[in-house]
Amino acid sequence: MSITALIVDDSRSIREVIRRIIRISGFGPVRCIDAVNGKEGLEILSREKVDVVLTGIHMPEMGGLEMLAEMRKQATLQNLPVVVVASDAGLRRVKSAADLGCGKFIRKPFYPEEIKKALADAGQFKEAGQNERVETDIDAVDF
Amino acid sequence: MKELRQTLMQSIFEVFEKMFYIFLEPSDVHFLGFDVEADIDFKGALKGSLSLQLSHNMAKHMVSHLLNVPLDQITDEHIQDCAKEATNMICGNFITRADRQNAYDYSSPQFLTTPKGPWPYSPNGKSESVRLNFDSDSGRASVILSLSN
Repeated sequence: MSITALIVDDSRSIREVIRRIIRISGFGPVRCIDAVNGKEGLEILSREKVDVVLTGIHMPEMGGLEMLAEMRKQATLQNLPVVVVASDAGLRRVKSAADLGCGKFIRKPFYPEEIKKALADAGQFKEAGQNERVETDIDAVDF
Repeated sequence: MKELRQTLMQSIFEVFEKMFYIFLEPSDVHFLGFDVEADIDFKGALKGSLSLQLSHNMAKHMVSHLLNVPLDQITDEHIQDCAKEATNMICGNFITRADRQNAYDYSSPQFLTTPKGPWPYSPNGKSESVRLNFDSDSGRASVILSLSN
């Protein structure tokens, strides 16, 4: 059974880097879905079953923390694991994220291992067995 | 300003080494003729802007290392997005190091195909600027931090 990760960031480069880290991390089958801001992230969450969200903070239209606040108002999304990946790691910002139930705050720049560990800690990702197929979906990011 | 200069230097090294696997060497030479530039504004207890200027070769190597894309397949859009994200990371990392206590607002990074030209340029209302120059096997880069009153 595959799990689904929602990657929310307005930078295609960052979305692709995170997607690639997931792909090479040795987790089982993972489906990755992209969103360019919090608003699009919420739309995806309203129609897709997502197991973990990785999000930036500052994005046009709706930022990551605003998205997180909206998620926590919805019963089905209240406990969904969220990892914030952001350059803006001031104490107030980190506290705001924690208050909204963000399980892990990763400061950019990051090592791939930090993303891998955060996902493993989120409880959804497990190392694939030797015979288990490792794949990520989805469309390659087109520039 | 001397402390901020040192802090900015640490942020630039961290971003280039962790995300782009590029090891920069500081240079006293004020290079001219950069090919691309990305700018970002920040506002909080400190207020100002940060600009990242890159040679085309440096920009291409950054994309290649970040996304594992062959150099001959890199597009202008790759370069734009990568330059903007690098600027965003350097600025956020710098502000977090310089003043972690306060909250800051950031603009969306803007990409310029025509860099602003020789330093020091004089953006309105900017009272202090520092420019850091770097060279590497992958090309050249400069970072300009301007603080407003």
